Amino acid sequence: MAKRPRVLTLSAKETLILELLVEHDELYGLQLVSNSKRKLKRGTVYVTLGRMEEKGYITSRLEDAPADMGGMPRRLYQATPLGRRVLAAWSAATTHLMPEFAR
Amino acid sequence: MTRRGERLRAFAALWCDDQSMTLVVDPAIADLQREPSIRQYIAVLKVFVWCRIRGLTVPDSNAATAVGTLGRTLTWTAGLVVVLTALMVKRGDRIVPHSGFHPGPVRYVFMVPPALVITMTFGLALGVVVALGGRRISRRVAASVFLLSVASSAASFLNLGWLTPSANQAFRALYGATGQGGITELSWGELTQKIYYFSGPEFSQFGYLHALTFNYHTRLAMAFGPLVFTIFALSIAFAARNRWVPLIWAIVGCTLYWIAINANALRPWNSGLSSFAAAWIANAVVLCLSAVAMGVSALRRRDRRVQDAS
Repeated sequence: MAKRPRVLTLSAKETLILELLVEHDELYGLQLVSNSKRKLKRGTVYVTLGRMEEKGYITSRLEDAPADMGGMPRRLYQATPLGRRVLAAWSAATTHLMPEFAR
Repeated sequence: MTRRGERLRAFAALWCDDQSMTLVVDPAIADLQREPSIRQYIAVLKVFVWCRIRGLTVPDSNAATAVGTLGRTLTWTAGLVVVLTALMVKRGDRIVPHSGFHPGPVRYVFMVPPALVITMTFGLALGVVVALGGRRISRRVAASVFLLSVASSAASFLNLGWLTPSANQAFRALYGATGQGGITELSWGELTQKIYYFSGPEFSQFGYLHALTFNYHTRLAMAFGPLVFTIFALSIAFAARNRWVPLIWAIVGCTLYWIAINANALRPWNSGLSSFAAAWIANAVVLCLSAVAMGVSALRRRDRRVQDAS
């Protein structure tokens, strides 16, 4: 008997991150924290972003920092087409199943 | 001159795998270098701890396997707690004088809560190393075992604060003793009240306050025993390649802890240590042993990575 495909799910934090990335196109970690109005915490946002990148919901690139700036280049995150589809499907499912709680 | 976060990154690189470094640690440090703040330093440390735990454990490939492993851990822990409690109660029964007294078998009921204070700690530690030692531990199992230790510590806190004092009182009454009980029969609230009362300057020449505060801190330290020993057991289970080495280390750790909590030389009135230090020194020793075990596993993993790379 063929294995059923795993249902892609989104946690509350992942949903928020995808919504912010869809709205702003490209953001780095601390920008996500500040735009989330304290819903995302500094300690956990990087772990969540790493997990989402492994799942394929987002992609990242190192910024083109000027040479004189020094330090490590920051990582900019973007929602992938898969991430956008999962967010759209998840939002639609939430609206359909629990209209009282849909944003 | 090193930049902000570079030393942290070098330290994290010893402990975390390459993927965690690239995806999680480096972005946090890059943000720290651009927007330095204490909050961001704390965030980097949290990230580092997460990566460390991730590096020690394996993904949960099979929920049934995780449940089976956890079930085995619980079975071993429960069995060891029962056996150790029976041994402690038997030992306690030999110490208590019996001539002229006929307390009956109900005395064993009152001897169980004080025994559980230490047997829950040792039983959990030994159960974890027997069930998990030398195996690859999944994140789900490690998290579940950790939650179990938190629940055990909470139960220990309740036991030490209310159940054991009541049991001690009832045990003493069983032997016909009347009048005021000792410190070990005071609940948390009563103990705190007595400490406050005897903290007054009119009692400064008496040593009773020392005994009260030492008892207070000892109870707190022992309530944290299950949590401390679970961290110890998990760290030696991760570090060892077979089951027997962590078991030997666990027995050594339990023995050292037993000696430390019973050593008269460590009492604050003998050692000159504060009540807090004297009470927590045993836990501190066990946590140091855990840190050593984690260091060993980190070095092993680094050597393995270097070997694989070459």
